[in-house]
Amino acid sequence: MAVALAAVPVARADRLGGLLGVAGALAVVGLAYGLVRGRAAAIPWAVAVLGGAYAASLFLPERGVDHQAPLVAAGLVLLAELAYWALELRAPLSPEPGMLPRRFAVVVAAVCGGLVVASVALAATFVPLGGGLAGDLLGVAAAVAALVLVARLAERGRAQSRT
Amino acid sequence: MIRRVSPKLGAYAGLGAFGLLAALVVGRPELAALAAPFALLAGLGLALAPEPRIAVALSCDRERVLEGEEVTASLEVRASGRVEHLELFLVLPEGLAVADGRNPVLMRLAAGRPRTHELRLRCERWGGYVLGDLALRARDSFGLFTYEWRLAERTPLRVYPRPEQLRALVPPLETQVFTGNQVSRAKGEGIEFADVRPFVPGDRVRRVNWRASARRGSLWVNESHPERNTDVIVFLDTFTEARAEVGTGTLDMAVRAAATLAGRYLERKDRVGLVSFGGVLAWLLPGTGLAHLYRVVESLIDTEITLSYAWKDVDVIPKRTLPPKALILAVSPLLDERAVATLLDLRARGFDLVVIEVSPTPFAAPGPTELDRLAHRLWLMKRRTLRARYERVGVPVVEWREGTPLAAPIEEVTAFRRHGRRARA
Repeated sequence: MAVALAAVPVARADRLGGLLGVAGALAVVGLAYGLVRGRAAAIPWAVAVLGGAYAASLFLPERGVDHQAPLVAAGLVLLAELAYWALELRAPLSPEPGMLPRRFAVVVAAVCGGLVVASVALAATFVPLGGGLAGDLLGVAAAVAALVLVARLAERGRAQSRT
Repeated sequence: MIRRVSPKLGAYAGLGAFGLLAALVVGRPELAALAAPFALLAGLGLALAPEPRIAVALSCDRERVLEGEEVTASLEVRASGRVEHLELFLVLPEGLAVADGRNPVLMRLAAGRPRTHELRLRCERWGGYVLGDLALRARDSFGLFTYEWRLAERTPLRVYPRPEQLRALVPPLETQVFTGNQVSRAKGEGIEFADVRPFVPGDRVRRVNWRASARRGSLWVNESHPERNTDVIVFLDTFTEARAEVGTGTLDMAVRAAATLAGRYLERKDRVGLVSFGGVLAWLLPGTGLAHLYRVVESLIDTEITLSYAWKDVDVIPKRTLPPKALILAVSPLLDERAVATLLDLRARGFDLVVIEVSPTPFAAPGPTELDRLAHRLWLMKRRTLRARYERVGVPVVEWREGTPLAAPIEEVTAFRRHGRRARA
């Protein structure tokens, strides 16, 4: 999965493909090292590097909106979920029958949900909002609202754990 | 309950925030599309991860078992909501081990439906245990949060010492006045023939020995040895013990011997008392019957070594615990001076004393250097001198080693008494 995601920017770019390939290879090697040694911290870095390589390929050459972005997003989510699941399975406890299919279903649901959300996010770019100061203020307000929502959810969770 | 955030939540939130920020900076919506799923998963995890409400009940199929037997512990787990990932671990005290079953165990709980998990526990050592220390860890469906907590059920489990094989018991030198199974040296009403004597008014006609009477021309009657009981005091030295790094020690053997001896003497209707002489002094007055046997064994399984530097001698033992003419069976490794001195003091006070030395020699191997080996030889010589000191005052000291049956040292005591006579000062 990681190798496939590392190959996407190399295939898209018309120059500096070697550099993007090296970055992708580093991400793959780092991820493999993290999985072998049980280091969860390697996973977000590998995802970030693969995402960054894809982002760089968007400028090499610069084109319009890439409609494959939701697929790449789903691929990154699948990579992250499978990597974290592999680390969970390193625990000495064997799961009960039925737990593995349910966990796989959660992974599939996360990937499908990610695909839908990424598609919606990309589709939203085609909605004419008019731009200008109003559009910028709307964007800032949405970002602030998202941050407030996350903070409220985190605070609610901390209050629950104190009881 | 402790709620921990898994690294996954931080990673997803970070990837989402970084991707959204990068999309704003470079002006490419594709980066927002890459970041959105991670941000959504982080948000869903925060919103939908409920705190698990789990109740666990622990029960054992038996409350009292013998050392070496197995007991089944059942854990009934119930959750008010669905729990996808629950790890459950029953913390076992030293002396109990899992014979069959998984511990820890990973399970999934449906809402409101109890699950029962059984563990077969092997009771490796006698003692009083309280089971129920449970460690639990649960995770939400996405693996973003971990909940850890402990529960304390209190389920008692009493493991009684494994009885040793005994063919015969140490016969006492003197008996008591109550009826029992021990043939007394005194003469009176009984079954065992003792002697004949001339008839005196008051003797029963059926006791007349007609053959002797015909031979002597006057009435002679039979005398018998009556069956009487004995007072037996089991004296347990709990000042110190010798113990292997893994496995048993002298205290384990001593408690098994004490329980076996108490049980066998109580079977023959003797009165048995207990003195646990060590850092903590504990005693039981002599008694009889099955209830008293349970009292003795319950007291024995609570025995432990308590470190103490206070000098103790026989004066601290209540006088009613040591009735006159009682047989005192001391079970001791003879490692502490206080126990050695107290036993000699008991002998000096005229008690019928037998010392079963629970040998610490197998637990104290000589060291690797020549000096260590020399010290070990000196220590063994010192122990032989101590035994000779007891034998000089007429106390049989028999060595009992791990792996040999208890019947062997008891036979040695009987042989010692057969060839000796009690000195009366």
